[in-house]
Amino acid sequence: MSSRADWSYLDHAATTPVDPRVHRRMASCMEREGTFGNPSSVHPWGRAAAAMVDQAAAQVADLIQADPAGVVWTSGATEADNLAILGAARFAANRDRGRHVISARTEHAAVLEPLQQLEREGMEVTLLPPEADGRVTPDAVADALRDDTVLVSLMHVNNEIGTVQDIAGVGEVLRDHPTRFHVDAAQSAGRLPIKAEAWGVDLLSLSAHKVYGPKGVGALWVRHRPRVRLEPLLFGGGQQSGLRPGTLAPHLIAGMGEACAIAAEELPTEAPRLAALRERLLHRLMALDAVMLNGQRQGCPHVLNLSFGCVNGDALQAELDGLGVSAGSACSSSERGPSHVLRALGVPDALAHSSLRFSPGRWTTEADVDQAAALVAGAVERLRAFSPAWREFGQGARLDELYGGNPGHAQESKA
Amino acid sequence: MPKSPRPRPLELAALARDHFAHPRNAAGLLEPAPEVGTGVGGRVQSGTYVVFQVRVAAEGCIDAARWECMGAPAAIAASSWLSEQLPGCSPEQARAWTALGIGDALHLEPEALSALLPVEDALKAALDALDVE
Ligand SMILES: Cc1ncc(COP(=O)(O)O)c(C=O)c1O
Repeated sequence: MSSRADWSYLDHAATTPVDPRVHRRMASCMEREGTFGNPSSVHPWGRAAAAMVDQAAAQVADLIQADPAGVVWTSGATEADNLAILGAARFAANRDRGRHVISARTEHAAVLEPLQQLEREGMEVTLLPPEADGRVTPDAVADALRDDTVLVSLMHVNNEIGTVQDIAGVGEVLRDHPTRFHVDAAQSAGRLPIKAEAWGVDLLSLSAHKVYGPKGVGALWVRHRPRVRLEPLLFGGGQQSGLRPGTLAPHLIAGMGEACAIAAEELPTEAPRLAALRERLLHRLMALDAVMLNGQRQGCPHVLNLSFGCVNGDALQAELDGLGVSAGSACSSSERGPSHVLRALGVPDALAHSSLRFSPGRWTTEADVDQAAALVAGAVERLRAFSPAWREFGQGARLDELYGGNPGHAQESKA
Repeated sequence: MPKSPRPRPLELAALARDHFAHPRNAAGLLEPAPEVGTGVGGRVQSGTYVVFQVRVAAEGCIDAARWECMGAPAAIAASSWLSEQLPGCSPEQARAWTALGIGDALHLEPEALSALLPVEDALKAALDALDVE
């Protein structure tokens, strides 16, 4: 067996390594003679930095097929989500346009937490329950829509289960309603085409470190035509039209721009390549039997979430300690306890606890995927050899009987 | 029950780790028989589910123990370790083993004890099920 130092990293949904091309671009900014100026300054150093920031905005906008004038730089997707949600809802509430917000139970904490803050501020939040595969249908959004709805926030791709929402369909439902439409696209960027303008999106969150860029920078794209206005979260020197003041970080911004440019260029080949890796992994691991797929059969190419029946989650994690995957209960947070996403899907807690998220990336090979599949299969088979639940499964008990599960989540593989 | 002084962490992990990595007496259950007691503890839904078996020889002592365990590493290690302690004990002596005592013997953290309760329950149920106490 290979040493654990050789085990491959399959957690690109958590974060990605910086692409060497991005690294070079960033490093050049940080040279003594690099583009270090303050983009707000009017002298040549400042103008050079401002031009670089403009170029990066064009690269980001190109990836999401949107107007570059709408790019607002933030510290990451968390800040972008907060600015979009708190900013749009407060702006509307302050003008008595309404106090109702729609989102989903499966959203990232960077969306759910600001929504809770809005509730504390007296707004009403409807969190839609997902279908068994994690989808929130445009019809469900249409049904929840009210005259006083001022914001709808839905993620494009779920970070834990890879489910892809029909953003175009939801945009269509909202077309003739004055509500703002926010989309967290942190996971879909570089993995699926994004058409922010065409889909009727008003606000779109991105994070550089999910697309082989640096940590600490992200963007909120804000529609300019017609203009979408927000209450800022920060107050200061008026940079970025006062929407997000603070001196811009040219090296981070250039890095994010470069990362987005590479992602856009490689998307046509990278998306099918990742999808094939996901399919390969899915195929091998479903063959273990008593495995449940959490999410869509054809989900986002870089996320595969599986629950392994008849083994305990702690034991599975102990066996795989060192493999670069996320354990189901801990995908979204450092605190232990069942994942809110798997709970919303109706996955029984014990089964959620024994789930793993596999997330291949730019440098993942078929050999990496095969190695991970073999390691996981070995661990599951070893633990099942003395599991009474596995014996009962072999004698004909169904997973939903064993786990007291729900009928809606019955996608187990039974050969 | 007073806790025994805690040995060095590496040492304490080692015994439990060895039983988790190389479980003993886990190669299949015994056939049902009057001298075999089978008991169950825990539930699949709670993540720990244990089956324990003891067999009593003609002289009245336990001569074999078998188990199955879907559980955390501590529960698997405890099942394995316990199965090695029981042969030679009378069923009455076997009843003295509790989650707390097993946890101490394996130098497990107090947080691991709840995972051991189904092991204790399964052993008690197996002893209760004996026809020949
Ligand atoms: C869907 C989603 N939204 C938001 C975030 C937060 O992004 P950041 O780490 O850039 O704040 C993440 C990543 O953790 C994510 O997956």
